[in-house]
Amino acid sequence: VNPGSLEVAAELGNLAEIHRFVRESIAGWDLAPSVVYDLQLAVEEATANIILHGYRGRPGTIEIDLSRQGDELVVRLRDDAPPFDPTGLPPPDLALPVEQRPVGGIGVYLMCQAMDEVTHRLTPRGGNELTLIKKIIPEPS
Amino acid sequence: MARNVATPEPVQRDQDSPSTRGGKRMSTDLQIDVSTEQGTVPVTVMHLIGHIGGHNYQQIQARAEKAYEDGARDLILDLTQVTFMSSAGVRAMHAIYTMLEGSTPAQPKSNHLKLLNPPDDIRRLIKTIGFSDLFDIYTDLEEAVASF
Repeated sequence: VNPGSLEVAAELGNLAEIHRFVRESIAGWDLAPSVVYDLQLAVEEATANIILHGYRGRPGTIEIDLSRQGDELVVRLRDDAPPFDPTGLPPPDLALPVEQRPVGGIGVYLMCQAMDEVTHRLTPRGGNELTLIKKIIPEPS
Repeated sequence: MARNVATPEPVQRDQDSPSTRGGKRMSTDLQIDVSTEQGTVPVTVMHLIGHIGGHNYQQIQARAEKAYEDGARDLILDLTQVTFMSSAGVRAMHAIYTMLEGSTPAQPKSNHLKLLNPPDDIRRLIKTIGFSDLFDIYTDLEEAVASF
């Protein structure tokens, strides 16, 4: 299935538009609700991370490609923020008392938990490309 | 059980047109209705309706802070009609927890913030990050109110 593509300014206010893009791209693919939720969750966490910790308030864009390749959903997110590999972050220590937990680190952890595979590479123009892969579970008929 | 429904907060709308699929809201709007239930103590119930994401979670914190300024000390987040929640919702819960319990609570389990009816996916998210040890989760409003 050919990818749907979206390019938006890296602003928190555009997370709603990104959510709608994902929803409309996968319409008709008969995905289980839990797969849809995990996909939306991972895309939101990834894009929010780019906006908050990549661009850090500086102007920029995020490109998103979403496609279905066999039994996998593949999302590619590209940005021109300084190089950063979120997959290298250690998981949060969930045993810590809540007041000591770094809540900001939860998003990347949730993104990785929601996906089957998350990889990062630098783009030729020096930005970041994050690839999210989710195995498809067909919706029971 | 007495119930007073406060005037709903103005709903902040984004550009999404309201739509439904399978009886569920499909927009990325968030509506917050607030009511007060009288148990052993007065309990403020925030009914969160719709989508909780990075673009709107601060509405929840702001509404909880307003309730706190108005005297609310025991609070239930009713998640029954939440269609999506990301870590932004977790951030809002954490902020409300800190507001109600203080920054160094005597015990981790919240005495003043409880959750009602999170949908399965959101319950899974809450469990994934370990917050199910922090908040009591109820499926019945009356039982939740009586727990304070």
